[in-house]
Amino acid sequence: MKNLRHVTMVISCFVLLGLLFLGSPDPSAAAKVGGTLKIAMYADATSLDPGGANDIPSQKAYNLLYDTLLAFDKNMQLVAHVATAWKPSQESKVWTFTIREGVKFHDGSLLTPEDVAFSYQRILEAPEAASQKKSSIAMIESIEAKGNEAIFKLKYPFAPFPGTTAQIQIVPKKLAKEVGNKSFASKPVGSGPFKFVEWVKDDHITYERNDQYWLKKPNLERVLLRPIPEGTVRAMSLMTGEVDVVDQVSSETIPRLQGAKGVELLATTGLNYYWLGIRQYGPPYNNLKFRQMVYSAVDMDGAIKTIFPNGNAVRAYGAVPPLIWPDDNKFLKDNGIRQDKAKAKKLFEELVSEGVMKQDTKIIVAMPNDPERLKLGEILVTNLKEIGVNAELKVMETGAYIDQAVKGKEPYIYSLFSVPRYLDPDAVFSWLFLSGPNGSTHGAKILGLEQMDPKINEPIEKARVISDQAERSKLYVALQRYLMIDRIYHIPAFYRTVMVGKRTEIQDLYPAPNDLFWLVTSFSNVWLDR
Amino acid sequence: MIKRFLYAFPTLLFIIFIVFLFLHLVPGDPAQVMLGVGASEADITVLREKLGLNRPLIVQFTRYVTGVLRGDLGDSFAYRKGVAQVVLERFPATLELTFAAMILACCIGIPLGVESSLRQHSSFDFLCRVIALVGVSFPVFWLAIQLMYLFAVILHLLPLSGRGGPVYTWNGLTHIILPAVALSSIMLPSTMRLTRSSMLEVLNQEYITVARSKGLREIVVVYKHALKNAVIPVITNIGLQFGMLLGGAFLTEHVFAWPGIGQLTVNAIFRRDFPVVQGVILVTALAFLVLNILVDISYAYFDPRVRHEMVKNA
Repeated sequence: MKNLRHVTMVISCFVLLGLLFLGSPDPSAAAKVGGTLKIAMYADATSLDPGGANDIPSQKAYNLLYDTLLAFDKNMQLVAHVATAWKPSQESKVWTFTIREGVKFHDGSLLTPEDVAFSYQRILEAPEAASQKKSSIAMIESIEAKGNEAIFKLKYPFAPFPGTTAQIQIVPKKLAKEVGNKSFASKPVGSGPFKFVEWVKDDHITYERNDQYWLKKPNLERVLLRPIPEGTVRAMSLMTGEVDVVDQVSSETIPRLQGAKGVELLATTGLNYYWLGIRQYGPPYNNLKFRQMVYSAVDMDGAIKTIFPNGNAVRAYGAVPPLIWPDDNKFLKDNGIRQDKAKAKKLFEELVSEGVMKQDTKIIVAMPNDPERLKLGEILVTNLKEIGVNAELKVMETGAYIDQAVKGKEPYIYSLFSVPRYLDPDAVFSWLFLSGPNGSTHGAKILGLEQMDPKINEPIEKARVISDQAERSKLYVALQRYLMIDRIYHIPAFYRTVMVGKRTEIQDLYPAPNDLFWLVTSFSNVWLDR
Repeated sequence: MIKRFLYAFPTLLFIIFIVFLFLHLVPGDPAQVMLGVGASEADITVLREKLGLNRPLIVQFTRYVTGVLRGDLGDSFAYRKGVAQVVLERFPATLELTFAAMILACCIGIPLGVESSLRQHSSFDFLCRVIALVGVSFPVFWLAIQLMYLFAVILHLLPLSGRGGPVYTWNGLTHIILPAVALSSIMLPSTMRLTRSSMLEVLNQEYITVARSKGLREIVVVYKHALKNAVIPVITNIGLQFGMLLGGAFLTEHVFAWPGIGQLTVNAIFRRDFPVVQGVILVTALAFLVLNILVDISYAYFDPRVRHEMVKNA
């Protein structure tokens, strides 16, 4: 990942120098105000009520309308936003947030701690509304609005709590209660940089500037979000100038966009983590030697080069994405299993001679029908066949795939990806490996870790209540080494790069690792150089 | 004719039953898909109860059918509002595109078929047959991308995607051309081929020879006497092809980001939004049945025997 950053920096320097020599406009020139920014995204939102939808397109769409207590800076570090300060009680069980004064909703009403409490409560109390969000704040027991503070009492001590507040948008209590959820979703009102104007379903969403925005006055007069589901068409739309920005640049369109006039590609590390998992529901999958064999057989570097010929993914050695601490990639890379066909073949022979599996035991590699993971599955099956294993690829539609993974008990090799619900290693490890009452058990259940492993659960639960990052870091490093090297429950695959395409005249736009649109933030205010 | 309308009801009921059954047999829990893999089991259970998915299938089906009879298609799982509203917000765009493609296919296909039959075995006839073969062989998806690349990216003549407004506005008109052309490729070849073969049959009839011997102008012979008789199988084909067009519209809409029910359905299937899928299929089936009834009525205009029969029955 560091390499990618360096390459990006070097390229950026050359581009900047080139522009200076060519006498092009200085990118740091005064921002121009006005104009409409047209953005193409891969799907339409399902709702503009942050309590009503949690899919990525909806988040992208409503993120422009609302504020959160805390926000991220360019490096995905938490910074004050609507909350000016926050502090925990001694054992991290009570968190107090001081609410900024003078923040106004688009209808002119003031944002108060009551609005904050209401915004959280409506998610907690309505499981049908946005339960993915609910599970990330399920540790909240009660919220109290007192003076200019919002006080969160938690069910158990939870050091990473501030990270969760960057995902919960604040809505006006009075209006939302008055008009009801359905009406609120059709005419959403927030306190964010843009106001809602119009939504023609599956065609466009229009926003206009919020002149009263407390953080800074947005440069853009209007923003138009257009859903264009087909990647090739999104790329062509950017090339023709029909849109100014496109999200989710597909791998096959990168070369064409790189050569296109007036188009620039921006890349940043994503927060996703893709892995190959080996379900522990039966032999030989629950045998450590079997997992060592699979890890030794797979050519992950070759697979990544084949799947992402344009370099829009980097090899993963652990479960923690690069923007989240602790960074133990070097150790995991140096000490983890590398591709070694001879060793894999020997392990296979040993497994057969020990009676763990037969020569012709069918090993299932199940993949959902997305192109990247399908290719990964094909490569894995080929690698396993090369050492004599009778491997078979089973392809399933994504919904059915998840259903079977969560509810089924069949052992097989699978591939999933995760995006942490908040930027803290707790979000990574608790979702993927924790089995117990204090965290979601789905990751562990999919993997087949039904019996609680104290070596996994204890460090996760211990790290939650410690506020010292260095101390927590030690626990996570040891845990990750145990999971990835000692037990090989996962074979880490890759982290996908977030890639955004833009017209060159769009200034001050940064690609967001969380895949949202950063149009007006503490560090940026997008403008059109037209 | 009233019988035809009455037959439509059991057909619709059968469609609802089949769709309902198959959707619920497909693996994938809507509650799980909606809440994601990170959701807790308790939340999934609550949502399943809220959506009524915990009830026996027969109870769910009965509730759905009684709801449909009252005009209530249920609530969308994903959009959290009435299915009728979700579908009707998008259906005009799909109808607009489908009818535009149909008109285009007829306006090009029928004259080409007539000319082709008049110049049988000529190079024009050969060219038309090749075009028909090519048109029917190329997938709509591929053709759509090529059209976009040529007319929008290279020539900058037409907009690339989106609807741009109702078809009677200039913006709307320019936006519909490419998707309508792409979609018409489903229907155009069969319309052209059928017109040609039907015309060839009719042109050999004695009454055409009589018409010519009476000294009628060729254009009158061909378009008034021959085509009016030859067009009946073509009309039947149009009625049947309408279903194909609606199916093709799903793909075309996806490529051209056309805000119709195609995009809605694709997303609904992935999200396991059963009520929306059922609603779309119901509305589509209804449109298909209505069009076929209209096709039957149109026979009376083109064929006096049918008109006479209808009057006699009445």
